[in-house]
Amino acid sequence: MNPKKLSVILFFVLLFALPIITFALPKKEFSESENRVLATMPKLTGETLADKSFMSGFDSYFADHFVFRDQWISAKTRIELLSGKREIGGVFISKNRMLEDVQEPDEALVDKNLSAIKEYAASQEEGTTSVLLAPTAADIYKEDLPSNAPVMDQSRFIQNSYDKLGSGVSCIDAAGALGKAKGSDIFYRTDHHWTSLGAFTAYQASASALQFSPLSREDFTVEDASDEFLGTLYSKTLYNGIPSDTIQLYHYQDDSAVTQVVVNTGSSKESYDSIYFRDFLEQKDKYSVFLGQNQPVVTIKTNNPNGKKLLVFKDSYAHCYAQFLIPHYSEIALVDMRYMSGSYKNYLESSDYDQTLFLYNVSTFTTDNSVQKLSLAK
Amino acid sequence: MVFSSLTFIYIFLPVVFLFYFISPKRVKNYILLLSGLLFFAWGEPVYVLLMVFSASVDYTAGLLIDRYDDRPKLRTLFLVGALVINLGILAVFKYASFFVINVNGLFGINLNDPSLPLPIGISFYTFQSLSYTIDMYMRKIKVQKNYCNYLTYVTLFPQIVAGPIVRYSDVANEIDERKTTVSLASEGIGQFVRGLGKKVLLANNIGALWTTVKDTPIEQLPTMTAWLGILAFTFQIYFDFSGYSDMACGLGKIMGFHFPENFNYPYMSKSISEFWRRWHITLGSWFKSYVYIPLGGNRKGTARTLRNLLVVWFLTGLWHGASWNFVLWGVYYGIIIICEKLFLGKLLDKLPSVIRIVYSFFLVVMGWVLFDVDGLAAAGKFYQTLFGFGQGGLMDGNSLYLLSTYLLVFIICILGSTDYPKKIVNKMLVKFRRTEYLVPVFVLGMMLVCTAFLVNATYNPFLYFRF
Repeated sequence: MNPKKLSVILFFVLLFALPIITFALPKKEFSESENRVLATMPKLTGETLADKSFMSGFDSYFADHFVFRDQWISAKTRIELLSGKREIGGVFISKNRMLEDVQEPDEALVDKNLSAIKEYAASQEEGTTSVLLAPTAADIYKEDLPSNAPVMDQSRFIQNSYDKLGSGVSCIDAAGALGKAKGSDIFYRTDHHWTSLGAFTAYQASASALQFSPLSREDFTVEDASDEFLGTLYSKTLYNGIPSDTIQLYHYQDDSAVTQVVVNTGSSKESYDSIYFRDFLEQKDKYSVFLGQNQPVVTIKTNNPNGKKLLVFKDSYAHCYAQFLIPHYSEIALVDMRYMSGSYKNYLESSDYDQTLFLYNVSTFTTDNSVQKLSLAK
Repeated sequence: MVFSSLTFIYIFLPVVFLFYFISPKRVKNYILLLSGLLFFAWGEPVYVLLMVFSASVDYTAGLLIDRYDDRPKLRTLFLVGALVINLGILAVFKYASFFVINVNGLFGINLNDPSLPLPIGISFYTFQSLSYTIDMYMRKIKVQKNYCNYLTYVTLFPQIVAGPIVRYSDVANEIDERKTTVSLASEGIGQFVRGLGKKVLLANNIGALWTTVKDTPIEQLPTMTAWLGILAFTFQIYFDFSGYSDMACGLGKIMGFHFPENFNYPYMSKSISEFWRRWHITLGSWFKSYVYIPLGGNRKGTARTLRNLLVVWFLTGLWHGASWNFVLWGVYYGIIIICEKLFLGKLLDKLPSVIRIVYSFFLVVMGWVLFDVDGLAAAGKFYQTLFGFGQGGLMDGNSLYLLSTYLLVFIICILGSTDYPKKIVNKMLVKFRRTEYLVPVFVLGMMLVCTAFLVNATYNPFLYFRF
């Protein structure tokens, strides 16, 4: 065929085929691979036309449901890597792993967060408040970052923050312990969380601050719950050059130690009998096997006779860390202030607990201000 | 609507092409008109009426000028009327805030700032439509009696929001009578796809670098990063704007129109005067035809020539936007061009080409600082940083990081700004006839790659929308 004719035909076939297939296929509401709700068709009214929200809504709707969306995004990531880019959508891609880019912190925000914790500690019995700021993979695996990449020095940030908190708070040096353990898989390669092993390492480093004698790895039976975990960093890039991660569950003796898990969503309370929500292993969001997705308050009750109760203010890093606390406490409450509008006092009283732990990763702690809701309790 | 969006490429285009190509000849202009209005209304659902009004003024003025052909005073009145209305609308919507702010500052008074949102493309379509009235007045063209055809010309969707500034005389015949051929369509498709690639793959990519640099506080900006940033903008604006023009001309060809080309490898220019004959060609020639020459051009002595040049360049600057940055940017070019006319040009002629290209490119890059660093004080600080007098040092780790991640994109941009790729391809096509089949492969490949980038577009601004 004449090459000119061929150009014209190819162009028009593409121009007609892609939209026709897009509209012919059934629409999804949720993208498993990107782990997000897709845009819906905007309503067509005079108002939405005049303020252009129909147009922008339609643009997002069409892009979100465009045929082969996942493949287009993967292809784009690959091409960008070829062009020399190393960071795609806030994710560094190296040969070994993907790493979340944590930007230089907003000092004012961090200082307010720190003083909120300090104030809280002052209102509690002395020596009962601990803080664990967890570094993210970008700090532990610096060598996997592109050379000269502008990232924050998280270890120094953690040290500075601990200095500012002063002696009223017991600070947990997880960064040091994780740094030593970096030869093992302590962070997922496709997700921004630490692995159970990473959390275990931090748990051992927490022992003196939380005043218990830590168990060793041999005390746990490790179960490979899934080896098909593609996490949040994969969702952002759809880069398939890093193999999927394995999710491990650490069982202490047997799970019967846990007697009840209560999830308070703010509007309802649901009871479970395990800290492992195995339904999530069949879904994309497999990390949620640990205590489900973020909720305002999750309370774990165990048959431990020691009567010790721990209150944890946390982000999702605490979810897999919690499995190691079970042998040491009879009750653990996990409070996520990001998911509540008022004070935590609407849910529980800190005086009911013997100890308090603040557990945040550096990324959350430097970008989120929900810790400041502590002062609402006054 | 923007060309570089999925909605445009995969909904608007197929629907418009389908109706356009299956409909009989006499309906085609109605289809075009409808699609032009729709295209415009997608971005400006309210101001579309303003555009129709503006075009109707020129249409009517054209009719009247034709009708009273033997009444010079009336003809002038109609011309002035159309000018006043069109430029008045432009003044109110584009320059009122700027004017009020400056008057308030100058006299210490407190006039109300109307702060009207700028209608997309107003500078482009006003100039387009005015070309018709002025040419009618100068008896250069025949009157267009069909209102639909006239409106079709003004609202031609390929060029309505960002040029090229197509004069009525450029397409007068094709509005009434045109033909799509396979050969022209395939040429148009090639040009459209190239333009899309320039915009989506090069301009957006390198533009992200400039955005990063621009967002860095100037006190922390090292010299090397500042250079990377302004060079990135230099390429961003070229590939953005020339990409858009290529897409416009390409779409025109698919439907049988020949729009004037807007760019001719401007970064290969050997003088600033030449740069402006290669950059945004339709704007430069508009000012030349409708301002510079009517003012007397260069025929009335050196003093008048210089005055005329300054007026044209002041207006060229102002056309780009209502701010002192743009005015100064225009005057900057005016002064350089005057120098080149008076003595610099003769000097340059004796120098080797490489040095002349470096000279022009350097001055153009310096111009972009004025153009895109908002505020004159900020631009001044940016110059300081560029020349090592900033507070951010010479370079840091981040400069090296940016250089290493954008190096390949920079190299492609540099090559893409020259005509070497085109020459090589043309040679190849002549030497090995079979390589013709690479063209459809290129079209398909480029469309697929650009689609991938549009599906997940995180950064897709369009620079010339502001004008």
